[in-house]
Amino acid sequence: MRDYILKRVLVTIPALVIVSMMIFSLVRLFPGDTIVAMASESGSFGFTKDAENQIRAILGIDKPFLTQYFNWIGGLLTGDAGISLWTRQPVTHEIARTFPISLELAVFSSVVGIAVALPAGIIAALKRNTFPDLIARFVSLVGLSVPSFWIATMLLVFFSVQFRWIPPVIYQSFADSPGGNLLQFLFPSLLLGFGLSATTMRMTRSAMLEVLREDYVRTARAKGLTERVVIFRHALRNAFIPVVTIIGTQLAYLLGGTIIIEVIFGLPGLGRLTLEAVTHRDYTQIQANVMLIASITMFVNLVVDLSYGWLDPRIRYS
Amino acid sequence: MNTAVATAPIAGARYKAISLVRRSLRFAKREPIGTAAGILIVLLLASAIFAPLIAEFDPTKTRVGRPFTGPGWDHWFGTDQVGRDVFSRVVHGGRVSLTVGIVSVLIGTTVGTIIGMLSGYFGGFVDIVLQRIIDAIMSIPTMVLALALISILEPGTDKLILTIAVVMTPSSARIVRGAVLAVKPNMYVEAAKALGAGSGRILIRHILPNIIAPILVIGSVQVGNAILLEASLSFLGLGPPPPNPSWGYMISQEGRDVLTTAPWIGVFPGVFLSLTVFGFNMLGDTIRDVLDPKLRGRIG
Repeated sequence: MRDYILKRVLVTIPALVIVSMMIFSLVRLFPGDTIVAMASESGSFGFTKDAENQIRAILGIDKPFLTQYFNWIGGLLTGDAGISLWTRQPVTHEIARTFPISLELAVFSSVVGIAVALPAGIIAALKRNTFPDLIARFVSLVGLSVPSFWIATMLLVFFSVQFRWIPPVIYQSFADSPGGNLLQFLFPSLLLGFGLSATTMRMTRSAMLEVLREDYVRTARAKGLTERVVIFRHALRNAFIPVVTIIGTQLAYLLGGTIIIEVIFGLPGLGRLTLEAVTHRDYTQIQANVMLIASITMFVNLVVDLSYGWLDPRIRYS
Repeated sequence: MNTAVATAPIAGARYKAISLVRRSLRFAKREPIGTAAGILIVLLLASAIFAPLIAEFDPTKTRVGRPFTGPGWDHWFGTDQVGRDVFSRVVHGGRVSLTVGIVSVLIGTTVGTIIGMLSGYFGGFVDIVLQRIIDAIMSIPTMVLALALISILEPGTDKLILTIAVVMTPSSARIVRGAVLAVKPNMYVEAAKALGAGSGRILIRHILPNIIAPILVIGSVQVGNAILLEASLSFLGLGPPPPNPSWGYMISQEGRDVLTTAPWIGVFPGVFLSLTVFGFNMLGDTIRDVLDPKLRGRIG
């Protein structure tokens, strides 16, 4: 197991280095006149040659490429990701403010998604081609196809008319108002959770179907185990690997901020911060956010991969 | 086979046509949802191609009717706040969505296939480097990556296609690589090698035809995803610049604020968007069922 963990960690590091280089070069691809545009757009600098040089200095693009890169990486490792071009605060301030919101949304949505998907997927597989299976498959396909932002828009109107509920413009933190905070997360989490459950349910169903045909399930049944033990101990555990992958991917995606849902429901999370950074052309913030999101994704993938080893000993030793 | 058709007598041709109809019917019976998806996509494609013929009005022309007219005979889907015909805008918006979706996936899947084939076939150092790059790109969520790319490119339909193509490339590369690895150990690859065929010939003549199934599946599902991504970006105002019709933009900027008083402005583009994505998802599912020999002929 130790070798397996070591191998996986060693594979992650180069990918992390590559992504940092990609993000870094991407920022350097901005044409020079964009910086002039930034100077005039951002207002806080005024449109002068000085302002332009100031931005170049903040970005550090007056130095050679490699020096810049290592400065940036060095900064990241010591928790200094640069200064936002828009707020002129350290970009980490904004991240610290928005990340917990995305985290809360991610956790709630995942819980909803798993709570819906696993039972539905297992039942659909066990009762294949019956009415419940068809319903589950149809609903999941609709869930895959109907864009969440459209549903969200429609639901908001429905809520505002039926319950006179509109998403508060001001975000309420859990410390300020636990009830208000939870209510603010309720609808977006349900919506995201149901959306995510479509993929997970389909994966659970097909993985279960695959496993239920295996010899060891037949053996388990033949030796007189109850159906519940067969399903939960023998089938489900083996069907879990692809399901865990999907759940991990989704969690990573959620942690990166679900931009549109955050925008629609007025949640100032990481996704919305990234969108705002893009509209403000706040390159230091974009750079930091994308790097953070990519690192989270890789970390989650690593954990998922390691969980394979735990779920299936064959993977550990191969 | 082509020459057989060309030289076949007329009676044979007629027989062939009848058998085609029969085979289609049999297929429709076995794959009802897939057939429905196919018909749906053909209809959507037709309406996109013939948009100027189907849509009576210029989609960008204001005051072709009274603003906020509900759906009716003159304006099937009603009019919007500046009196543009919503049906014409939905049909022309479909043109944008389908073009962006299909062209970006064609580019993305082609590039992805080439990368995946090289990576899977040659293995070794090339494979390791390419896979780490793909890991890196895939660690950035599609929406975030698209946003970052769009922030450097100027807005415009061609930039949108380019962005979505880049976003779609890594996952197809990964799937193609997996398929190549599965096909590579087969005897016919060995045989081709033994006969002295070069790598290029083996890849194109022997490997590609055998991995076409997963490529088609990923391609059709990705068209759905690409259309969703295009709509999401338009929803955020990063799609084709207005007044060009685009489903995402119509839902967010034109329909959202008046959803209680004039719901048709935002509802119709949403319905068409959902149907389109649904169609491509179902098509992908059906292609998988039909082409996967493991599933073929299985009951149910």
